[in-house]
Amino acid sequence: MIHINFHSPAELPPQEDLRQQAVERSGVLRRGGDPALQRLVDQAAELFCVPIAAISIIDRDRQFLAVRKGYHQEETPRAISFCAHAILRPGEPLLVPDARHDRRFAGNPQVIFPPHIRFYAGIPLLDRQGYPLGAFCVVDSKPRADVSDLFELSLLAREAERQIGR
Amino acid sequence: MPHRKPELTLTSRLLIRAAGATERWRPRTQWTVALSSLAAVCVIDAISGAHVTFIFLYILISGFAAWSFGERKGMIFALLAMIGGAAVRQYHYALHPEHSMPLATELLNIFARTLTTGFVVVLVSGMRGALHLERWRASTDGLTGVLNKGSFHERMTSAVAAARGTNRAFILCYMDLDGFKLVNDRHGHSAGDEILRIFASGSVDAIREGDLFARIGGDEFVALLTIPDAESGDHIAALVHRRISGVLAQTGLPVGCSMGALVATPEQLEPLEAAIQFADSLMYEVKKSGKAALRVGRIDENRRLVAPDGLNIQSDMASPSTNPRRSAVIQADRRAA
Repeated sequence: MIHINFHSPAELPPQEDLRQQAVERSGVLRRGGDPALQRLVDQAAELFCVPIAAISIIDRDRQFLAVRKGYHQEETPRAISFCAHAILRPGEPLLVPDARHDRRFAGNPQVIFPPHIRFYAGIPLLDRQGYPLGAFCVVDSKPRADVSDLFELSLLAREAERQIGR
Repeated sequence: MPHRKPELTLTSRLLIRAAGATERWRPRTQWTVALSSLAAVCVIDAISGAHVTFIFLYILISGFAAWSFGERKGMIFALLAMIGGAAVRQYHYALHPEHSMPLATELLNIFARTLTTGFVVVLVSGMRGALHLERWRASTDGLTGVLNKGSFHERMTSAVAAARGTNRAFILCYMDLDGFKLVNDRHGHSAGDEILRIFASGSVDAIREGDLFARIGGDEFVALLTIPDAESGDHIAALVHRRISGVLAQTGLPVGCSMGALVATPEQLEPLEAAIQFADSLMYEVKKSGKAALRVGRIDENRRLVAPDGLNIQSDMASPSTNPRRSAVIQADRRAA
């Protein structure tokens, strides 16, 4: 038996050009390692007891992990980004209890190779006009069904939006 | 009149085959062979004396040059051959002044020889051109001008073989136009043909020069992209899909492109028929979701493709499976042979 693991790179959101302009306007691309944002990410990782948490900004063909915990790369291709899916529905969180069972992600290199993502929860980060810049996300290499802390995560995301908007 | 395939005579076929052999030589070898045979002919002509003429040999090697280098360089070579021949005659006249001819006669002779050789060069290079055109036609899809199925297989085989043992990887893309039938029905077949042409030329522009792109059926296309390593496969597949979707969007018609992209090492792409089937089934995955999207797939690391005649590709959506773990893999069974 041969297995072909597949995934779907996220399509471009409507008004991608305007969204990209909003990303550049926000100045968040210059705020890598920002201590205030870093604190929020650390808090989220602690809250969810996950090894990985990050603020990911979707910038053209890449996702820029402006601040991150437990993940060594500063950027990855947009094509393998979970957060690029999250920004397609700016109004709601993207929740993936087990990526192996999700047709969008099962064959994603981040799932089949390290860091072996299983659980993902991401809250889209919007600017004042409502353009999604990226997502505030927590990630685990173990699947999990319980997401009772999602509300707390969205509070942290709202705080991150305020920090970015400054 | 019935549309019959013309038969080639045995001599034509032998000629084409023989010519095909010298064609594969490197240009340097071709020039070396041509120039050294010219030198040899001059020497033979010189030592054989003034009574025997070897003009046919000069013409013969000029024909060879025309076949190997094409019309223009063939002409240059023929000119060299004529100068060589004239020089040899001058050598004879110097040794035996009694053989020398009036200048007008000599010039007429040179003119006649040059004309004959030039004619042979034009004839031979014309035949060469016709053969090249015929080869191009045989490997090309008539409507879109891209590769056809047969030549895609051929070139993919050699590209994959050449990449064996390197770190390079491939993306095998299988593409299908969404909404193509609708365009055909609403706007007529000429509009449909135009869409195919636009899509093909836009796609060729979207990929790199060494990559392969072919039309293998009505509105189905395949591409083989060479990439530096398997990790960059997702990014490049997404980029190419976005670009060629952009080409279709510019037509203003409601057409899109569903693409299945198989990221694989050269070893994983064999046998090719199976690999193409896998890419096809990835594309079919997109079709089932109903929108012009992209699926990127990889073959499970520890497993290799099996023989093509034993393949039974099925995805889980087609055969309702209760095991959710298999919801995003395509499986292939090896049937008992």
